[in-house]
Amino acid sequence: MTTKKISQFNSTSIRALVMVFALLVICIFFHITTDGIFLSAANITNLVRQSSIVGILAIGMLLVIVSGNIDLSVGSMVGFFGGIASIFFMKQEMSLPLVILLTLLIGFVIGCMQGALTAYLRIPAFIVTLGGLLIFRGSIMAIMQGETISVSNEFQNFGSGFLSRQVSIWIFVAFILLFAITELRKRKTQKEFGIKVSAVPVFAARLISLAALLIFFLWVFVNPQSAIERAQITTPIHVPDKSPLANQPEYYSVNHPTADSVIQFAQTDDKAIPVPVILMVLLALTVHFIATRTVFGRRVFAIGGNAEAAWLSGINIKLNTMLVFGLCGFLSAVAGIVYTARLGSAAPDAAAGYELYAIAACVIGGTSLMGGRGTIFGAIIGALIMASLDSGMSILNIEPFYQNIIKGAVLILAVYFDVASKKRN
Amino acid sequence: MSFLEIKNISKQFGDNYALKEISIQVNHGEIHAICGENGAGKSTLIKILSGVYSSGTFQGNFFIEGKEIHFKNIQEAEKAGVTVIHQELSLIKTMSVAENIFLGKEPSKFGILQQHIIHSAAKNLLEQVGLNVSPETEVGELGIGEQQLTEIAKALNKNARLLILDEPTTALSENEIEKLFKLLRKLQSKGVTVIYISHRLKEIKALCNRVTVLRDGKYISTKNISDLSEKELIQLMVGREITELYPKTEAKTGESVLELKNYSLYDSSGKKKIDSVNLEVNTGEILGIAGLMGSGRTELLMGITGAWNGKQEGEILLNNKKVKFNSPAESIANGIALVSEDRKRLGLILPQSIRFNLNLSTMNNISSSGILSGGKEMMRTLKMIKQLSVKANSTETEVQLLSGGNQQKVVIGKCLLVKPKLLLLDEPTRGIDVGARAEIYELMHQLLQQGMAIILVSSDLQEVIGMSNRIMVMNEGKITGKFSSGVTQEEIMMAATKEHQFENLEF
Repeated sequence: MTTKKISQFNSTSIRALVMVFALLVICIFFHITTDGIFLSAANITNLVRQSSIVGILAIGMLLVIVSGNIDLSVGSMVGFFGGIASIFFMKQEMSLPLVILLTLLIGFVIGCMQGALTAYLRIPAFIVTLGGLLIFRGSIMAIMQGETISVSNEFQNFGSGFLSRQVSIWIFVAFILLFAITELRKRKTQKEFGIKVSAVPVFAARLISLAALLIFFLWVFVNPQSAIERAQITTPIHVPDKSPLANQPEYYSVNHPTADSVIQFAQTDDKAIPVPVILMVLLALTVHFIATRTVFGRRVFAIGGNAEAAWLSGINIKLNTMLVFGLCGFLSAVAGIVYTARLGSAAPDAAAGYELYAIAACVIGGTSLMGGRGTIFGAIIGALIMASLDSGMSILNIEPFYQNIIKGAVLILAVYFDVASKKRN
Repeated sequence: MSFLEIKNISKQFGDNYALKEISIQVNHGEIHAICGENGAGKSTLIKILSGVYSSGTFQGNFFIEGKEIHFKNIQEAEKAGVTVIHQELSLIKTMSVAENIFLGKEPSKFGILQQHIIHSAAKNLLEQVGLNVSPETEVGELGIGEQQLTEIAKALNKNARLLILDEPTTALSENEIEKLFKLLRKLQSKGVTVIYISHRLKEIKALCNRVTVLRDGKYISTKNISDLSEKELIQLMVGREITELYPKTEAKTGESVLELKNYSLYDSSGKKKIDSVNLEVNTGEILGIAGLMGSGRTELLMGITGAWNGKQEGEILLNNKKVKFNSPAESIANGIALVSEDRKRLGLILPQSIRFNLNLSTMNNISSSGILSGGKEMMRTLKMIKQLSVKANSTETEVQLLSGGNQQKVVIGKCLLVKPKLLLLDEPTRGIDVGARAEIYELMHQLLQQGMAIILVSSDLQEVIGMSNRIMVMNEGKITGKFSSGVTQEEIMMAATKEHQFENLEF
């Protein structure tokens, strides 16, 4: 027997709201405790850049988890693909487009291979990818012989490049239009089929708030303060060995005095959206489309929700499971290229442990580890929450081990809230 | 004196009353049936009596032997002797029968399990319920019927004084039901009070002393079973008169849709599950397949749809052409759709919407180059919801929130969207209320008139007899009887339990 009345909001959208709210609370908390540094344009730019690699990995991880599997090898894959891309580019001297094409292709194929072992030979994904974690890390160490390969500026653009102001503005306009058009079309079809739609003011508020958010980010990216920070990125500041930031090249201090030359640089600067961020956003939109609007995406959700029923409904479980891992491998290769570009060099131990961040981002974002449930939006918010914690605690100079303890606690707390809210329903 | 007295109990979910001012008296040592359609409030009542809804979350009160009861949780209820055997079994499949029976009550000394006591006591209990398996058997290896008996043994071990059975026979064979009834009567004679919840009116008539009918969360009446005919009982439950449960509109039968020739199936260990079956179904015709649990009915359907994993022998002819399917995807593409026996496990993606589930088998028809068309999908969804009168708030309602009858309609709808030539129905009305059943029967007849062929597998013999043009009885993988529609339940049971071949017609 079930209650006949079902709440207007479905559980997924409520969870999404809760996550956004949690992110806001975290932001406000750090903004106050860091005396306004946290929500400065410079730090926000930095923060979304930091979240982009975990974000890209979380997008791939999400579909794997939704299909009822797990991929523990993505961190090692990032190191592996970053390494081979740098070898192709610097040692084999291939052209950049070829390097990228080849790396992404290998990423897809290796992902499919892991998927095939899971789907066709029925070795649990946990085991296959745990093996992969060791194998890829070991392989790249053997190939690179423990050495670090620096990549040239052309390559670095993927990690530390920026789109020009003009292009950025057009992109934001395009996003706002795209969103408005899809929402309006959805509303129209819903009306056509006699489905109750939200009231006009609610609908308008939704559109306007999203446009406002996008405009806010545009302001952040073109802000002169961000430009100052970018100027500093090109010449990383010296980080003392004892600082918690010493081993994390992604972090750069943002509140140190600015030299005149830097200000001058900022004034002539024509940079806005960071390349890795736009990559993450485009990939997120694409995979969101795949997840919600394509036959493949639908099948992945069906397989994760109930594999046996999906099979009896005529769905090829093996093939689709393999492809999900292929997609995850592909995205790991993207992340590998971005990571290497970001650091300016490929190191054999790059991105160690990133699989756990990607899984955590998905889980914080409301993805069920049992499979069948999850959203790209949630995974991205999850990645942003993780990056916010990183960034805020780094500004506060909290020791890295405390940072880990807090991040672990947040992960557990997030899942607890999820479980508790389900219980109430 | 009444053993259990329920006084003015109400339970609300939001603005909805699941139960409204229910008062029932259950006598000491009686078998008291509670019946009503899905949504009548039976499950809510059980949850209140068994402590799932703790004292204070509902209004009203109840008394056991005159004492007012406030259960905080299930453990307190069990201590007081109230045990429920749920429709959905709560056994741990990876543990042995004995371990399951003693779960939570393990006899131990200094924390060390006393295996010999567990073993011998379990053996004793299994004998009592008439289950002939070793206590060491893993529960997952048992059939659904045997698991049900294990569950009853587990309840007996808790020294229940009030035993509540929620649809206990849905998965049991006639034999097992007989055993269960004997057992319940034996317990009754020992002073155990039983509340028996069932859709099967015949069983209520055979077993119970009195019956209370609930409808839409309200108390309708309590009557002595002997004063009530089955028809009157249905009227009380439904609140209207059902003139004829099984519609009789003759459809024209035509050419052969499916034919099996010497068809055999083997399981992974090489054991024969289906033994040289020959059968034929034609357009506009329902072929009923009866038989006990484990007689091979479900396996036969799995074989036809390409869902069988083991070896196959013999021929399958579809429209007189030889075919071989390696997966359900292939049989669906050839116009064969299966409504499987366990809709939650095999039929539905529970956390997904009605729209998602309905279109699961036919996504290629509503997409181009892999991209789904939202408009086409919505059109088909709304049409199917209307055609099958699925009761739900919207197309986006998760199917796990639907009642059993509406869930089944979604599964059937998914199959109909395939536009099948042959529809295989495996226990299509199990656990479904009378109203939804009548609708499903009506639908089957409409489909026949459109020239579909249907194979109906069911444990409900009245249903098989009422719906089928021809009936085939299976026992241990063989066909042991072939009948036309004039057959009696007794004749079918004879064929289902004997090796010898019975028939009253040639086909």
